Amino acid sequence: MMTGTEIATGLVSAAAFAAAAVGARRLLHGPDVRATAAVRIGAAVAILSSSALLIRAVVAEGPAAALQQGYESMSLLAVLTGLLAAGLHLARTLRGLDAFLFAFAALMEAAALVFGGEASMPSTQRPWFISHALAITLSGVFFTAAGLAGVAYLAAYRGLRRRPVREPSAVGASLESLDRFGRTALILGFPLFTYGILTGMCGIAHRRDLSFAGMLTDVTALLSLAAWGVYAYMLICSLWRPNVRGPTAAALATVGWVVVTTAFLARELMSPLHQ
Amino acid sequence: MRTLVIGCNHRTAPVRTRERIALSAEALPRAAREFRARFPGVQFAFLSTCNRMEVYLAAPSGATPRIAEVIAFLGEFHGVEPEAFAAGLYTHEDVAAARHLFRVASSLDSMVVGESQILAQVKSALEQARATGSAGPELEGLFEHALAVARDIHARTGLSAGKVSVGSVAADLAGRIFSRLDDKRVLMVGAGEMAETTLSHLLAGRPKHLWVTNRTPATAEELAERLARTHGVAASTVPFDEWVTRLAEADIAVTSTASREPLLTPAGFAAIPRRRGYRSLLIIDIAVPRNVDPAVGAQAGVFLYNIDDLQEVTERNLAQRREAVAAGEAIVETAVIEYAGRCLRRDLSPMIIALRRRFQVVADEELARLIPKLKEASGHDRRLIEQMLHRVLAKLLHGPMSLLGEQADPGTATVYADALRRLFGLQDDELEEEDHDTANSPVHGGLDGRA
Repeated sequence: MMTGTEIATGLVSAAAFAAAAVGARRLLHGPDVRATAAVRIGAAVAILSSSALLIRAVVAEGPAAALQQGYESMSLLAVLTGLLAAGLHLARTLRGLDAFLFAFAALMEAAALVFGGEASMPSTQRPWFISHALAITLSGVFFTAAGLAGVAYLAAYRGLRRRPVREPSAVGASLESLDRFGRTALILGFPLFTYGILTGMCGIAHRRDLSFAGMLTDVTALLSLAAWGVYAYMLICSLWRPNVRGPTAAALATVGWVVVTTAFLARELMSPLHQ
Repeated sequence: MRTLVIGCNHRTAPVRTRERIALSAEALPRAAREFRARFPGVQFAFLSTCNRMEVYLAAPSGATPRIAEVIAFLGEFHGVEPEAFAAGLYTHEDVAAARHLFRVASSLDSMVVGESQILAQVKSALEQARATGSAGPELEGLFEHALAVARDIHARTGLSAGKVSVGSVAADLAGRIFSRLDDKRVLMVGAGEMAETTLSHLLAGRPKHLWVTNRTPATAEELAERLARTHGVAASTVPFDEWVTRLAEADIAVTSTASREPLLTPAGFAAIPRRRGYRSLLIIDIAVPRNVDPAVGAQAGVFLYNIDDLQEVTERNLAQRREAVAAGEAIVETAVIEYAGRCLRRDLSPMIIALRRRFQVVADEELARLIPKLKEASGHDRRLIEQMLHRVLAKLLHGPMSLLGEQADPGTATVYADALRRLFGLQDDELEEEDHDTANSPVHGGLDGRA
């Protein structure tokens, strides 16, 4: 069961991330002191409050036990996404993408409130688990960024190809910036994701009650492997097949993100391996 | 205090008239010196742009130069007969002058409504006036208010939204495709004024290299040299029969030749995407008939825009700006009322002081007549009588003065002030005396000699 502190922190963080998203969206129309304040204060409040709760959980229960909790692991994803969004907001090279990432962080905080009440799993207390959880969470952040950049790219690309030419999309960043950002996020996320899958397999090997055959019937495991395939293909193409770039790469990044997000959410509901 | 603007703009005077009285950046300091020598103590600022030439003045009512005197100065300064330009001049006074400057600064009065350059020009006029010592508190207040109104309008309305020239739209599209232009290569195919204007917006981003090609190599050479010199970019020429292959390296191409048939066809372009590693390619085809087959634009990564595409965007943006004009005008009107109220309170201040002084003088005269008759009264009694009289005067004046000072509507306040002035027979010299008493700026100090 979730504690009152967790519920209150989750609500505050979700609201603060949402305020930051609205502020970042408004900043696309030009300088606005109140919008800037909303982004900065909202992001700071959300990141600090959720981080404080995570740190408290890690100190009280140890990292392995804390990261097994539905609420904490989803909140960690929200915090990391929020940090990435704050970095983008300050960098200003990818205007507008910060709004989407803040919105995603708000959604994750809200989702943590909904799904986080699941009973905690027995702790394995093994190092592989911490590595697995951290690597998967971090890769999830990068793939989320790449996926959102892909969505933004497709919207901007469509707007530029249409006649009459449409106004700039919600994200003010150029196609080139979005493409570069998506590729960078993929390059950072893929090794972490691969490592996360490998440590997950280590976990299966350590457990007598689990088998590799079980992976073939586990939704999360299957989706993760499918997403890994998509990202591996993208990575190979970005190195050796330049024709898979631009809109094609953006579409693949979007598909990969949808698969990864589905796998992440399915972990709580439809994954016997993880439960 | 009176505020006055005298000037002409693109609507009231043709360019041949405006250019005769325009003030270049070099001529401005000398004009300021001579104007101040002619009209000492007057606050003034010159606003000279390609579309307008205006002189803004602020001075106490009695010290304001006559319009004819300002026109004569402009004529003498430029060595032009006043008749040659006076017909195109307009004048606005006080509230109308403020409204005019607010509209000018916010580009509601510009040839291209919503253009942002005028805001910088108004700011520059104020800075110039400060630098030459011709600005004073009233004129500075007016200009600062105008700049704030303009910024407010740009922030709250869509008046400056979107690009409204073909060149700026092309540059905007380039900005939506590429994150930066300084690592990009631009290819210009053909020559022509329109192409050059369009290209100048792209060259403002300082691309890495510019290739120019033309059927006449000498024209290409001359154009490349001129563009390199004007925009500070590396430029070279390409033989005309090789420009299609050069697309493999270019990121942006601007085509503008007089060819009757498309110069770039899908067949000719087929090998290019692979050779350029499928990078994005922006093609601006402003030629009529078109130089690039529309089918080329269907290829992935190619962004092809013809002149109609660009003009459609400019038309749409202009329409949006026209829709925002009403909102901008409403903000101007609100600001004018606020500004007029502020001016009124400032202008009423000498009258209130003069009125108090008038009452004080009457009281002092009556006391001077009464006190000698009170032979048996002690010093204490006399002081009590003096205090009582002053309290009565203060209480009698308090109501009307408060009402006047707090009056929000400038029209009503003016009526009240005028009534008080007439009822108590306040003369202009009494009010001006107060002006001098409260003056603290060098400009105010300079007015002493004219009062």
